[in-house]
Amino acid sequence: MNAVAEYFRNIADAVTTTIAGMKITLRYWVKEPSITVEYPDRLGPGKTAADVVADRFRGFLRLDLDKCIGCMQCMRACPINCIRITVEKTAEIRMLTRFDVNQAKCMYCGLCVEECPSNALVFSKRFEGACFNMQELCVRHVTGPVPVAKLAAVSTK
Amino acid sequence: MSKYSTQEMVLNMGPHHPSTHGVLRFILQTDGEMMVKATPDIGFLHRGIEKIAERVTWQGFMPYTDRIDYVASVNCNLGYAVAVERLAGVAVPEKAEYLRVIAAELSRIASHFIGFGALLLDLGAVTPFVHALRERETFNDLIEMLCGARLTHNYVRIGGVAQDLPPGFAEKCRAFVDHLEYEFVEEFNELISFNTILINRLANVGVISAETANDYTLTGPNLRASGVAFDLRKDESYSIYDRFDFDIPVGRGKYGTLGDSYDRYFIRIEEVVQSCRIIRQALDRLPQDGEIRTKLPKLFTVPAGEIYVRTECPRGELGFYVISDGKKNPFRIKIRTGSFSSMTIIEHISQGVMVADLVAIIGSLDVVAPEIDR
Amino acid sequence: MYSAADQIYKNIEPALSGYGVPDMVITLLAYAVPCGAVIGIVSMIAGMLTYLERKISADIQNRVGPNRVGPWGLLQFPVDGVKLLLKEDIIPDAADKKLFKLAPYLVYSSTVLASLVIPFGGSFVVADLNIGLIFIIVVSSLLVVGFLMSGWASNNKWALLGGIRSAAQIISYEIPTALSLLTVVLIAGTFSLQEIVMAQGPWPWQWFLFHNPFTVVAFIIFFISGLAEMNRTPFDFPEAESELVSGYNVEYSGMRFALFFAAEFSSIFITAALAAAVFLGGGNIGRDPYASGLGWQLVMVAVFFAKAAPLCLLTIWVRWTLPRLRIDQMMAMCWKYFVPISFACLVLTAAWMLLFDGNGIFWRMAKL
Repeated sequence: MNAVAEYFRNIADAVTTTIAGMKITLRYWVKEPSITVEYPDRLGPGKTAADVVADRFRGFLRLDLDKCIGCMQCMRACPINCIRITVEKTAEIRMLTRFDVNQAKCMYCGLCVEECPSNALVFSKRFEGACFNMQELCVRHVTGPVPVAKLAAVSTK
Repeated sequence: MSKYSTQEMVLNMGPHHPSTHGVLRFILQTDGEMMVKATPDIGFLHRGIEKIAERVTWQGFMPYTDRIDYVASVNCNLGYAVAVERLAGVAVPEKAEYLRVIAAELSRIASHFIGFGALLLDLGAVTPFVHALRERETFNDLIEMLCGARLTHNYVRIGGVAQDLPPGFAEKCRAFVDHLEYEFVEEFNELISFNTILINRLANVGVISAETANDYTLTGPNLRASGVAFDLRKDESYSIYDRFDFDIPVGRGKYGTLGDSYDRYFIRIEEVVQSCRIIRQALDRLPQDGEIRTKLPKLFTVPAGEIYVRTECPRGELGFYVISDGKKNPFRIKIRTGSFSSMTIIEHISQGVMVADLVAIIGSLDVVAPEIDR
Repeated sequence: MYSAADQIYKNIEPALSGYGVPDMVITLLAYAVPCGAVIGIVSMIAGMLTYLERKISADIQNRVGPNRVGPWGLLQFPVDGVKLLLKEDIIPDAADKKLFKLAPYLVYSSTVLASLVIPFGGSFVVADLNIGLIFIIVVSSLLVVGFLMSGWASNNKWALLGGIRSAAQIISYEIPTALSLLTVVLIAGTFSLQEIVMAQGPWPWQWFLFHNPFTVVAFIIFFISGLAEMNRTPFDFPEAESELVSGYNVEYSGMRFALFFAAEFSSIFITAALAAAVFLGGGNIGRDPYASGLGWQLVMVAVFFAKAAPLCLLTIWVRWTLPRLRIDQMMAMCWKYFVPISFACLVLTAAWMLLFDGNGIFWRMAKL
């Protein structure tokens, strides 16, 4: 007798749990709106890709040359050596001759930005880095020799 | 009749197969649908993280811990940070501890969503998987607000955390955990957990007794599903987990044997609820002011010595064995992960099950391939 | 017996024979027109169903679904078809090439053949065979041959497992399907689908679904076995994506794959159409389909599709709710539950017919 009861209980269980699940899917089917962000071309009126990411988003690195003091802390902090800096000292003035960030290698960990004493190196919200040649992702922030800033002259953290 | 004798078929499941999460390979010996043996073949995702540690700075290894288990980055960050802090004797500010707990528990929730979501996807239920990922999306938004990245968070630092809570985070986070605990879990259970087909697929499949689990050094939810109430957050408390009030869910054998795949599945849903409780308490008690990071010297070194610290990761025990020779980079780091032991037990429990059951077993053990190989 | 080909022949024969067209050409033409029309309509519906499936699954999962090609992504399925046509047709070196090429056509033809006897309402039926139901059951078994053939010929272990699974599954589920259809045959006393439709009425209480309590059960069993026969979740073992990668069609690409795909979605429609015709009264609006004008006939077609469409949607809805069974549980479900219950339905319906002199529960209303 138990077996017979179980037989019919199995049928009842299968039917009720299926209906319970289908009720929920029906509610989503007819009611719940989509949460998809239709990147990149239907973000909403006047919105760009930078607007959909958070304020602290870790995108491409941006360098403010007026603030950079050429201390090379960022280069030392980088675990994968994707930053290359050269500072040349002529007579009295120190000149920044090279500041390359290889964005293709960068893992956006943020350790360099934290180390920067003068807030010169910051994250931008740019993340669209598709290009035809890997070399294009090696961003040269310094094209010609630039005199470095004095730490006292720029606002510190 | 000997003329018509059958022979076993050798099937290669993986390295690219929809239900081997990540890159994982099983060599199956099957007799039709029945399986004689499943031998895991690992090493496809070996990236040499332990070796990399020997040439980067102590702080510089933090982003690499993200990649140990990219589904639960913050938990891996935390494990490494706790290990180095204990060895170096660095004190962590009160506020940073709370922020760590909030981020780590959010990460645990997100990881469990992937865990049982992927299991359900392997069992053919696509909608619950997408619903779980939808909730994970909210987590992604939150963690993006908090630290700026959606996947490899790199939030914890040695001696604190990277950033303070952004404005509006606490409210959003509270709404998220309330939604999870009071609405989502109930709806999800009704949609799929109590479904007869799912119970039939998972109950009594891949049963691991408490002894076997201990023999194979299973940890985390997989061990607790076998009825052993062992949680490092309570039993060997690190960070400030001893201040929170939460339960350790254990397997009960609700629809079958204790320690079956259903227990391993359901325990993760219960842990989500417990994590929600922890997050709510942490948000309540979070100090408003205070440091979030201890100032470390520019050239941070750790005194010579060695330490083994284990923490509770969503996939079980994450142990860091750290040796320092007093220099600016680690001398040796050995990482012990939960997925590795979960992986070893598959060969034992998959004898005589069907091919479809193997999929359920792999999914219920919540194996993440990069965590196996590091 | 009614045949659309006969009607067309009668209409075009006097006109064409005047131009000296041979009789055989006229006959072939008379057969080609309705067959082509049915293939076209069924393929069209199958395409629409792929679109609907993607859109509904997206709605259920808080997604958007296809929305780029045409308004609301409506042109997605023709574009997909064109894309599949242009894809490279890969035949594995180790495959049994002849069988490999033949299998998709067998699978597709079985669904198309089944659609020949479906009464689309009014006089729109290609051939109203007096063994219509048996024809459908026989022809849908042809599917097994195609699946098994593709699984074997691919020379791929996953495909082989998928082929064997589908053979076991479809052959098992033929029995409850046939038995539940037989309960209706008991009531109607004919195998002809058009006559079964005409034996019912326009109102729900005149449908065979509500003839007696056992036909309701038979309808449910028919619908679920139908899901199993067309390899839909929760019975999608032959192509269980997470277990067998893609099952029997794992080695197929391009148009051959598209044929499998079209066959799968056509069979959703055919099962729904069959259920609508047999249990829900088809396109019956209480008028004689052969004596009505074209306007009334189109109303009948609309009624028929209005009944079949919800069943198609139900099929899709079920798929996006339930997980997959295991192969042994699926067999247990068939032999332990569906076969005995459908047998019981058959016997009890027979007893009902004897006890109540062939009248249904609502016979007083039905007589009105």
